[in-house]
Amino acid sequence: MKQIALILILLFITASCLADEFRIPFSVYPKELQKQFADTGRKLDLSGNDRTEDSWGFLENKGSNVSIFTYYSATDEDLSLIMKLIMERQDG
Amino acid sequence: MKRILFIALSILLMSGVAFAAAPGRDTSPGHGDILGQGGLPSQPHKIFRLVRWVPAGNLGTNAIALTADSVVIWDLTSDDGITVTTSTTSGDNAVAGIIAVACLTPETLGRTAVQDSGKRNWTWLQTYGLASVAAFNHNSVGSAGAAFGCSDQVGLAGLTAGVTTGIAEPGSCGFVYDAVTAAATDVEVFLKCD
Repeated sequence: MKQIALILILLFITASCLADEFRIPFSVYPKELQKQFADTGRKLDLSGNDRTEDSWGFLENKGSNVSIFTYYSATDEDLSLIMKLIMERQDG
Repeated sequence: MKRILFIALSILLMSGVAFAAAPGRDTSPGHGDILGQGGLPSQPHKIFRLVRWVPAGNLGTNAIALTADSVVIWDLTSDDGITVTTSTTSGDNAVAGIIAVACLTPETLGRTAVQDSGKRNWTWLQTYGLASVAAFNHNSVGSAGAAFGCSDQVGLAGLTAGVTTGIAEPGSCGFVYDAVTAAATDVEVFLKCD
């Protein structure tokens, strides 16, 4: 069992530490966005210093725009989700 | 003995992922990506920007969606730094990057970015890092490391070397990792627009 766990860890080592940045030209409410991401199982920190083992990424608020940094290489699902959550607030 | 077997198996599996014939990064942005030069969270290995797309000149047909992996330019009509459009100028200096996700057409043409806020014609533009372009135009033939940018065909990339028509200093958005043949498709590139 231990060996299998070790193999799985080794397999995913190469997939870790590949951060992506998403630059979003809208202002957001960081805490609300954090809650919305939490609902999807993604732990979005409000600072890179808040990182824990469960963190998915962190948000850097720049006033009129915002950047989201992921701790892992983003997937198509992440791209769609960020877009959806950001745009939901803009429309209307 | 068991330990050796497990170590061998793990190395084999890792190599299989790292050197797969069709790595995930070629099929979609970031999906299954395992190689790169990312370091600290503040040093992303890919940068994406949320941008608005309008057809060229914010006019014309409104029926054609923007496909993923297209090369686009910053829109010179909107002048807002958020809106992108397509170009048919080889080596266009306004080149912005590569579209990561297909985008729908605007609901209404002639609007500003503020009016379009939250509408369907927004998508992700990749401006930095490893990416792939859908296709190069028919004139592009070059070796690995050659600079590329817009071509004379909508959304298609073109090598900037040899571009002489109508533009003094061709703009590039990065370089190709592999040699390019005429009308090559799904080419691995590195973007340097940010």
